[in-house]
Amino acid sequence: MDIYHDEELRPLAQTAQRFATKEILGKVVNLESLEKSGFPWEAISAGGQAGFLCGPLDEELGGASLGLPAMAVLIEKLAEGAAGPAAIFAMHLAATAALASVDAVRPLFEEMAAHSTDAQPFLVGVALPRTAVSIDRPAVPEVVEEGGDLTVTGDFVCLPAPEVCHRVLVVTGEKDAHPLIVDAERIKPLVGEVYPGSGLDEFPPAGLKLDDFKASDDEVLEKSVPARLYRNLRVLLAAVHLGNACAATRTAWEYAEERIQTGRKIIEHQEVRRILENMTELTEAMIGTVRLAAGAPEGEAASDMARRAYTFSGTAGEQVCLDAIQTLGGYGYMKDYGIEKRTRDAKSIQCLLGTYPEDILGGI
Amino acid sequence: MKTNSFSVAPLPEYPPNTSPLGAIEPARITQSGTARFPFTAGEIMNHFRLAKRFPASYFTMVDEARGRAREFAEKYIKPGAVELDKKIGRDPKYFDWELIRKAAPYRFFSMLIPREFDGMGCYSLQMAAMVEELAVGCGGSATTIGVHSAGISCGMVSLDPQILEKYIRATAQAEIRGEPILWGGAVTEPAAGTDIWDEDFLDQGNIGTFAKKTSDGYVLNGRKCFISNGSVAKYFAVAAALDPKNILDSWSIFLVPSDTKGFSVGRIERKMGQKSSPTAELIFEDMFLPREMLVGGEGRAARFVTIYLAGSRGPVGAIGTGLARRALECLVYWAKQKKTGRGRLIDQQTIQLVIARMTKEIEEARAAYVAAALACDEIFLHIMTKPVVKLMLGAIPNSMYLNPMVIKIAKSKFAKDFIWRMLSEAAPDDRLAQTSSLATIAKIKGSSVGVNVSGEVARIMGPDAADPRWPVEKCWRDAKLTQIYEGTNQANTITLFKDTARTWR
Repeated sequence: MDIYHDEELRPLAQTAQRFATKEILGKVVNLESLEKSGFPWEAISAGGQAGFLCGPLDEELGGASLGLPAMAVLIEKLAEGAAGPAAIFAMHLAATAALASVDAVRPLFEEMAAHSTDAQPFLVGVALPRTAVSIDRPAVPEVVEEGGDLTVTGDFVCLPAPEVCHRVLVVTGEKDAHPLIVDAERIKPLVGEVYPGSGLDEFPPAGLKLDDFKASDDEVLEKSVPARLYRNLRVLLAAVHLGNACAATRTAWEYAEERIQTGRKIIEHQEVRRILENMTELTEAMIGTVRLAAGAPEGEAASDMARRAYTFSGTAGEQVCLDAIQTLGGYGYMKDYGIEKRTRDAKSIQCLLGTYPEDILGGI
Repeated sequence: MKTNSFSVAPLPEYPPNTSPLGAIEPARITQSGTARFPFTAGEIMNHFRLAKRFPASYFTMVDEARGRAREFAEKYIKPGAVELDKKIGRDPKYFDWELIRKAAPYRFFSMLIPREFDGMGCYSLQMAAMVEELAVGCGGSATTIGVHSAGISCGMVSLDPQILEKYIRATAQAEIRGEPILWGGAVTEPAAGTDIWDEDFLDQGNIGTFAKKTSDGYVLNGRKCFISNGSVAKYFAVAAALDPKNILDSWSIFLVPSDTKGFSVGRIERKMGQKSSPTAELIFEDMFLPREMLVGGEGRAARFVTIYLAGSRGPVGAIGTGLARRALECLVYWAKQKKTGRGRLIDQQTIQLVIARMTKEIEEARAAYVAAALACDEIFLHIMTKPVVKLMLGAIPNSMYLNPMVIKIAKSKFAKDFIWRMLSEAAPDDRLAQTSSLATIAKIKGSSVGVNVSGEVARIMGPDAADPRWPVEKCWRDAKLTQIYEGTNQANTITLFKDTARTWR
C-alpha cells in the first residue's frame, strides 16, 4: 500500500509510476552520452500523450490545472524511472506553471496544447544566469531598459539545450529580475561552450552567451515570473532528487536481501541494516521537505522553503545514492544495477543551481 | 509487521548480534573495567623513533618520488585526464598505453622492486607519496600504478629467487627499455567480495576459484571479478583455494602470466569513475600452472594478503588524499577568480572557513597514511636488512638465481619454512594487527576525505564543477571507488575493530 501519498494524489502517483516503469526505466537509463543516445524524444512524446506536458494549464487548453504539490508527485515518480527525462519534464513544467497566470502567453499555451502529442512535442526550456567564472564577463547579467525593450549581456545555462526546445524562458536573476520568453530558434546561434558533467546523460544543458541581446516588448514578461520560476524549479528538482533516492533505496534493500557475504544475507549484518535504515530515514525526510515546500502558500516564506528543500534534497539525495553504492560494493560502482548512474545524476542535479545558497556565497 | 515503501517485502526484525567475530572475550578487558586503547602517544612516537633506524636515503627517496610523480602528473596526466575519462566512458576497452610508456623514465613501475633487481628499492611511504601526487592528476592513473605495485609486492613477498629473477627483474628491465609491463592482483570473486579479504571470514565466503594439485603443478578453475588492470596486466597474483572444505588452510597465491593457456579476460567493466584504470573479469578454465608458480607455499595466502593489505591500504588513503587535494586546489583557484555581488568569493568568510576545514581534513588524511606507511616499512625494512636476505639479494650473482641447484634449495621445504618463520618474526601477530589498524584507518580516512571534500567543492561550484579546467566532479567520481576497493570501508571497520581488540591487554 502506498502510504506516502494522500488519497487525492495517489491516482496521479500510480499513473506516473506506471509510466516511469513502462516508458523510462529500461528504455533510457544507462545511455552513455548524448552523442550516442540522442534526446529521449520517445519518452517525452509518450509523456505528452499522457497529458503530463500540459499539466499546469487549465482544462480549456487540455490541461489538468495541476498545482505544485501534484507536479512534485508527478516528477518524483518519473525520476524513479530515470532522473534525466524527469529533469526535462521538471524544467518544462516549472516554466509553464510560472507563466500560467500571464495573459500575454496565452497564444503560446494554445500552440503548446496543439503540439503536445507530437513525436517531438512543444517544450519550454529555462535559461538561468550561469555563475560565470571568467573575469571579463559580468557575474550578474547586465540589463539596460529602453522603453519596453531590454538589452541583456551575460552568461546563462539553458536547460535543456535550445535545440530541443520551442521557447526558452530567460531570467536574469531571482529577485527584481527580468524575464523574457524567447523563440528557441533565435538563441540557438548563441549557444557556446558547455560542461554537462557526467550525469543526466539524457538531459543536455547548453551554455548561452548573450552580448547586447535585444529583447522586444512582446518578449518581455512581468517581473513576478522569476520568483515563481525559481520556486517551481527548486521544488521540482528536489522532487527529481526524491524519486532518484527512492529508487536507489529500493534497489539497495532488494540487493541486501539477495547478496550473501560471510555465509548470510547482507541485510542480516547490523551495519548494512543501519545503512539501509539511514537511507530510508533520509528519503522519508526528503519526502516531508518536498511536500512541505510544494504545499506552502505562495510568498517569500514559500520561496525560502523551496530553496531549503532543494538544498536538503541535494545533499540528502547524494548521500542516499552514495550509501546505495556502498551497500552494493563493487556492483554499485559498475553499471549493472543503475546505481552509479543515479549517483552521477544526483550530483549533476545538485550542481544545476548549486546548493550553496547565494546569500551565503555573497550574493552572486 | 514493519513495512515501508522502499522494501519489496516486509522487513525482518533488526538483526541480532550476528557479528562473525562472536562475543569479545572478557579477558581482553582489564581489571579496572576499561579496555586499554592501543594507540597511546608513546606508541605512535615509537614509530618515529624506529624511523631513525631507517637509512637516510629512505627519507630523501620520499621527496624524490613525490617530485617525480608531481612532474609526471603536471606534464602528462592532468592535461588529458578529462578527455581520457570521456573517451573510455564511450569505449571501456580503450587503455592509454602511450601514457604508460611516457611514465617509463619516471620508474613508477619498479618502485617496490629491490635495487639488486634493477628496481628503485622504495617502500610503502615512497609509494604512498607517489600515488597521492598521481591522484592529483587522475585517480584512475594512480590506481593503475598502485595496483601494479601491489601485484608485484604479492609476487615478491615469498622472496622466491626464481620469481625474483624471472618475473620481477624482467619487469624492471622492461621499464628501463621503455616498454613497461603491468601487474595485477586477483582476489575478489563474483559471489565473494568483502569476506574474501579477511582470513576470519574466508571459510564462510562463497569461494569459487579452486586449484587442483597434480603431479607437476596445479590446475585452476574459476572466475575473479573487478580486477584492476585486468585487461592490460601481463602477470597476476591470483588467490585460490586448494581444498573446498578447508578454504583458510589451503588459500594460496599463484603467479599467473596472462598468456597461460586457459586464461581469458571476461567482461570489461563500465565504471562510474577511475575509468583510466581498466577493471575486468578474469576467467580460468582448466588452466595449468607449473609448481614454480605457487608463491610462498600452499595455504599461505591469508597471511600474505594480510601483509599485502597492511602495505596497500595506506596508499589507497593517499589516492583519496590526492583527489581531495586536487578538488581543494580547484576551489581555491576558482574562488580567487570568481566575483560576486560582494566582491571576490575568496574574500567571503564561508569560503575561507570551508577551505580551512578541508585543509585540516587533508592534512589529517596525509598524517594517517604516513603513520601507516612508517609502521609497514618497519616490517619490510626488518626483513630486507636481515643478513641472510642481504646475502641472498646482494651476494649471489644474477646468473645463479636460475641455477637448478639454487632453485631446488629455494623451493625446498626447509627454505620455504625459513622464509615463513622470518616473515612471522618480522610481522608477529601483535605488530601486524597494529600495522593493519593504522593502514585501515588511513584507508577509511583518506577515502572519506576524498569523497567528502570533492563532493563539497562540487556543491559550491555548482555547474562549474564539470568544467574541464576544474574537474571536481571527476575527482568525486574517482574518489568514491577508494571507499570500495581493498574491502569496503564497512568491512575495513570490522577489521579495525578486530585488530584493535586483539591488542587490548
